[in-house]
Amino acid sequence: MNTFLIQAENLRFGYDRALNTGFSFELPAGELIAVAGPNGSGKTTFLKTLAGLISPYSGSLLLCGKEIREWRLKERARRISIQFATQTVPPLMTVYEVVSLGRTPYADIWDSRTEEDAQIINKVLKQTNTAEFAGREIASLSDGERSRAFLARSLAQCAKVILLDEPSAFLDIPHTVNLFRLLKTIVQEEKISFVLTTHNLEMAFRFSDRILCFDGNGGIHLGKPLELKEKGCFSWAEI
Amino acid sequence: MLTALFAFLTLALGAVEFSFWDLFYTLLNPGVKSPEALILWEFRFPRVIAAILAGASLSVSGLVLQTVFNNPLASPFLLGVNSGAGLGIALVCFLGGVFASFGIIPAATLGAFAVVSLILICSRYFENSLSLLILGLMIGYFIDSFVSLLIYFGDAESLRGYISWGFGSFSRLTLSEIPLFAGFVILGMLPVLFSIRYLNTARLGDSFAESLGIDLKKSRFAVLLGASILAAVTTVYCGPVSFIGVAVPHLTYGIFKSSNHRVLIPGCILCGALIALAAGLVPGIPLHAVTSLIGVPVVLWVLLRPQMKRWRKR
Repeated sequence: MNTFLIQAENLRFGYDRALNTGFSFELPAGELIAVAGPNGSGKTTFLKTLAGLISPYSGSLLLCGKEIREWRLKERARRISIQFATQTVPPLMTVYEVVSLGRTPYADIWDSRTEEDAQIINKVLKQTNTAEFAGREIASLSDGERSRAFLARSLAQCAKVILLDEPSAFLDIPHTVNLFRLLKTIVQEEKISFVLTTHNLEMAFRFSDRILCFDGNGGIHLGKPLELKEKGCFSWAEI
Repeated sequence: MLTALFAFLTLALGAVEFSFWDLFYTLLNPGVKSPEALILWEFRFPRVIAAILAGASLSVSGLVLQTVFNNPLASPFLLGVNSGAGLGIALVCFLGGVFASFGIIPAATLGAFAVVSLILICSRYFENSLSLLILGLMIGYFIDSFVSLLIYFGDAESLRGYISWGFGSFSRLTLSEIPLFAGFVILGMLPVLFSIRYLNTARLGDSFAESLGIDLKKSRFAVLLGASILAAVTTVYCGPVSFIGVAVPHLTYGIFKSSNHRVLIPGCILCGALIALAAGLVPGIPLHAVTSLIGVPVVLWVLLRPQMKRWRKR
């Protein structure tokens, strides 16, 4: 029985050229992995590749034991969810409506929502502490509220793996700490795994189980935060 | 939400009442072959149907294009439909010869669908919706300039024929053409209705939709196909009625306060049919002018009302 959610072997990724030398890693259930690295080192491209939005440049990438390209799109979306840093914020859309979009992979062709969908939406709204402003327009929220609303949207997808691109990009320190705490709780309670990119190494050290460190020259190192630090993998950040 | 929908349904039927039911009741009692019956069935009835079909299809077409292109100013004519139909008609009017034997409606149909298919084929190769938008506009301009040339070299009599098509009218439809028109409208609605999931997610961006398990290229093609059929068939039968496709979606957002296409599509059908009926009440005047004359105040009222409330509070 294959217990890994994601299994990459000799994976190289990139659009027209590979951004990295091949590397392998496994993601078990209930782990928080932070992806760190300088700008332009391919962190977002890596997440998009994991999500199946870009085909791997070479190597193999298994999602729940099956090659990512072979999943039907809808089935894939039930297992892996991605939230981009540069998310368009549509006007006139309430938080509830946005969160409800997370149920799209489960909807029929008329995009209707069942009682079960409503229950899940309400659950994730409570979980992320967004229920009180569920009726407000998402464009009118503060950055902290909006990041939680988009997290709720991802959670509503009921995926086993959630990829977050710079979830703390617009947040101040208390909001960042709260967000990471919330993620940690979800990891422990629901056995969901998060892979998130961040420039906040302090948070990565404090909360992540392992760090994927991109060195900016195509090298990728994976390990427990302190191990990586001892190996000098964070030299680009002068740590 | 449902009540709003039903309230609106009655409203939409109410608009028919003024022109239709009065006559209808007088007609039920006497013999069917009276002159009124003739007027009713031969002229009035097709006009009502034309208005409903045209209003509904232009609105839905405009709505989904605004969603796909993520641009509140997108209209059905972005797909080059009116340019194509215009070109077909201009060829018939001005060149004569082989083209003249075609007749207006087949020529417009051919022109509209030729241009639309060109843009649809291109759409398969464009990742980015914005470049597709620009492509549509450019092809439209390109063809319009052709038409201008034809007009410049044409004679006055042909010009009149061309311009009267350009005014737009619901009166051109005859009873026998209704099934064909309606058939095309249904054909155009189907791919749109089957893509509601895509439409609802597309407003948050293409990659967002894709990450939720939507087959982006397929869905976008289906929606564009549906929108072009709707716009093309309406333009062919009723002329270029520009206003409805841009305005009614905004009217619908304002009234239904939703961004869900499960609500917006029926809403657009109702609002579009209503506006088109209201505009079509005045026969003889160019539709192009009437739709905007009636529509602009209505849309402005709906759009500005929430802001007015805010101003009053200050």
